[in-house]
Amino acid sequence: MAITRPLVIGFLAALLSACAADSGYHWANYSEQAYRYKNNPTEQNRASYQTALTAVVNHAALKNLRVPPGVYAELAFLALEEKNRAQAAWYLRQEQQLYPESAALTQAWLNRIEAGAAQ
Amino acid sequence: MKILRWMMVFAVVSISGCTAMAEKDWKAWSAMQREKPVALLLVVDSEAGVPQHASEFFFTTLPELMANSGYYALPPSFSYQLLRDSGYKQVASVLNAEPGAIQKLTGADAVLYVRVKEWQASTSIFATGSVRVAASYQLISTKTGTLMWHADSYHEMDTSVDEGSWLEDMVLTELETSSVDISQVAQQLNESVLYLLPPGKYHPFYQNWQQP
Repeated sequence: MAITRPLVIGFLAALLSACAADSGYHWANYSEQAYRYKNNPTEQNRASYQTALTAVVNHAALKNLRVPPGVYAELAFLALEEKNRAQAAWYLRQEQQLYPESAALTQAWLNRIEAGAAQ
Repeated sequence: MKILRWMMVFAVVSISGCTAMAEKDWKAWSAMQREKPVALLLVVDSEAGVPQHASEFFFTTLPELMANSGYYALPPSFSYQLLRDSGYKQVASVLNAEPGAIQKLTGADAVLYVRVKEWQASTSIFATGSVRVAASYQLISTKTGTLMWHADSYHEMDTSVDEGSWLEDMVLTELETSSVDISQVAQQLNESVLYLLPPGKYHPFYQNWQQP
């Protein structure tokens, strides 16, 4: 029975995860920090949000996972807020490369950045 | 070892049953199979009396759940500013835009329109309490304006305490109700509703339910 118990737990876990399967992204506490920042845009909350986004990217690189949709774009938005256009453009190109569905939006913003019209 | 064999049979039957049930529901949304949306634009508003931060909660937490369901959620910060700069300043103007206009501007195949209907914690003098969040969800094609999928749901947590005298129960119910993080209730609502959304291109079940 010593072997059976872990197997039972393993089967139940597999069962539950199969029913609740998702796209396999790792988000850490991205949503929580995003809500905190948008709801109360202090410098501290902004820094925590930026840290959360960077942690998602770093974790994806470490585990060879795809960076979740929108994470590079949100980093680009924060870079634009800091007037760091070159960094923002780099993040937007990463988003576009990973998710071609973002092309219309990311290209519109890349054009704005190149024209010096973004923020 | 007999028990292990039975467990394996049970697991296989349960997993296939679980996905088969969901697939049957997903296939009922024929416009989803026809149009195959991938990029979604999130639009949130709320009914009168719902606090502003409720909309913010949906706006910031839904992209993660939409992505987990296999869709590309357009980054809210960029898409909202682009829409505003292009004259789409109200939710109604996005929802009533000419077919094709929003897609051309943002690349969105569909709009996920969420309307927050209730966001409240309440107690009564009868020592009953609850925390409740309700919302409607509509996925609307940006190409044709077709309603491709919808859900209308609520999540409620009972915070009533019934352990002692009426006065004690009333005080404890107040305390219990105020201790609940309402955003957790909203999160559970969103998770349960988005489970009903047919999986998108980046979800492992996508190919299964797309088959006739």
